[in-house]
Amino acid sequence: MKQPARSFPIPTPVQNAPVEEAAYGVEQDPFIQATPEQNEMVDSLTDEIFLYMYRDGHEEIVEDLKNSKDNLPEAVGTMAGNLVTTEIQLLEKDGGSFSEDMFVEASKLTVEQFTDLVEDEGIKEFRNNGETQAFMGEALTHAMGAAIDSDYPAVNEKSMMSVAQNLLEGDMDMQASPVSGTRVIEEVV
Amino acid sequence: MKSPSTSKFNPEKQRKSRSKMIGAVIGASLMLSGIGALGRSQGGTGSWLGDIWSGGKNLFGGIFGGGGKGSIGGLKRGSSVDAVVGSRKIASSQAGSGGIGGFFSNMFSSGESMIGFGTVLNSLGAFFTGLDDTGEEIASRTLDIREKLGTRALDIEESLGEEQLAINRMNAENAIRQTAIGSTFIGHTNPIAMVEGVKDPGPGLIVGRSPQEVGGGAQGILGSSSLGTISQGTTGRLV
Repeated sequence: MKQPARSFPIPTPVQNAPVEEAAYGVEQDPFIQATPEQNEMVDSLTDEIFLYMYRDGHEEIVEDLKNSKDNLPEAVGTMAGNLVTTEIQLLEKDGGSFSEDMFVEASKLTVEQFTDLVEDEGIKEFRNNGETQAFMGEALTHAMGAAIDSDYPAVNEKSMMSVAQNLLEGDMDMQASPVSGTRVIEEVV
Repeated sequence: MKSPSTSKFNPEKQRKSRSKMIGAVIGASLMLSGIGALGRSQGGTGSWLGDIWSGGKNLFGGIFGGGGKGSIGGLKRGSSVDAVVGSRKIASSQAGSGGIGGFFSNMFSSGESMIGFGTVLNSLGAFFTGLDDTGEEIASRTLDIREKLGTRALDIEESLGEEQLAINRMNAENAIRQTAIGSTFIGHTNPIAMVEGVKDPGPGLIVGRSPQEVGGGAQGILGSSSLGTISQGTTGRLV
């Protein structure tokens, strides 16, 4: 059994942002309560993951996703969870460190990036924002499951239950989010 | 052949993906994960979806006195997102065909323009119980749900703590054993190594009368009235 780990905080999502802001990513920093070091840590980690997604691992990932069309959210979530936990473990093996507080955030960003990828590659077409959100929510749930299954000790049954407890306690801003207007207009990469 | 976009990849730009999860979706996902963790901690079903379902039935079933009737094991894979779009109510049979994708789709099928955590809890209740309207009940029982999760988390922590103590004890005994193997005391196994797995060293070289108590007395062997005794008696050594 994995060793106990403290619960990681829930990332502060886009909440109550005016539609225009949400749509264009202005004032959308999800790390409102995170330190600059933590922000940098997440960026650094996800940059490595995204580089892998779009370069070395691109063909394999796209191929796998195409073969998982019938089960795409689970495939995306599992890949995202595995990539994040593996990257953290590689980082730690090299003497680096990653704040477990930022695990959910890194997973969320990776799932979002995968969602762009499946759409860009024509693997999945999202008819509206609700469908995109549902896809990402399902994928993130599977990413958490993959993380619990992984060797990364910071994510385990206990820490995951603590996160849910914190949510119920009101750690997360419970105010409603706009259903629409959270997708950024096509970006030139 | 690689996609044309790969050669133009710029992490700084790519980091800003156009798909952004809203708070309620993140919250719902983490709630489901917590419920799945609960299911797994209670034995698990061998699959994450199965764990979510068993955890949810346990959590919400206790509160609503029944629990869901459907089975997530019978999910039709791939239809998760599409199956329940447009359906406001999730009965247990719909949960069975829609999976957690159906749960998320249901959150967005109400036609509401704003989604809060109340919607998330209501959808969770409906999903796991098959009841159409659990909103008020769920809201009033939030503390119960939280307590149930917390109790289980505490159990895990406790069992992990006990496990760690046992490991520490085994490590300590092993260290003693290693010392015993590597040393002798007047030709016998060092009596300090009398832990499980090391043979009782028995008496060592005795000159004169063996004391009945060694180490247990306040004076110890040096203060004993049995002058000239050199003994390796075992009585009281491990007290």
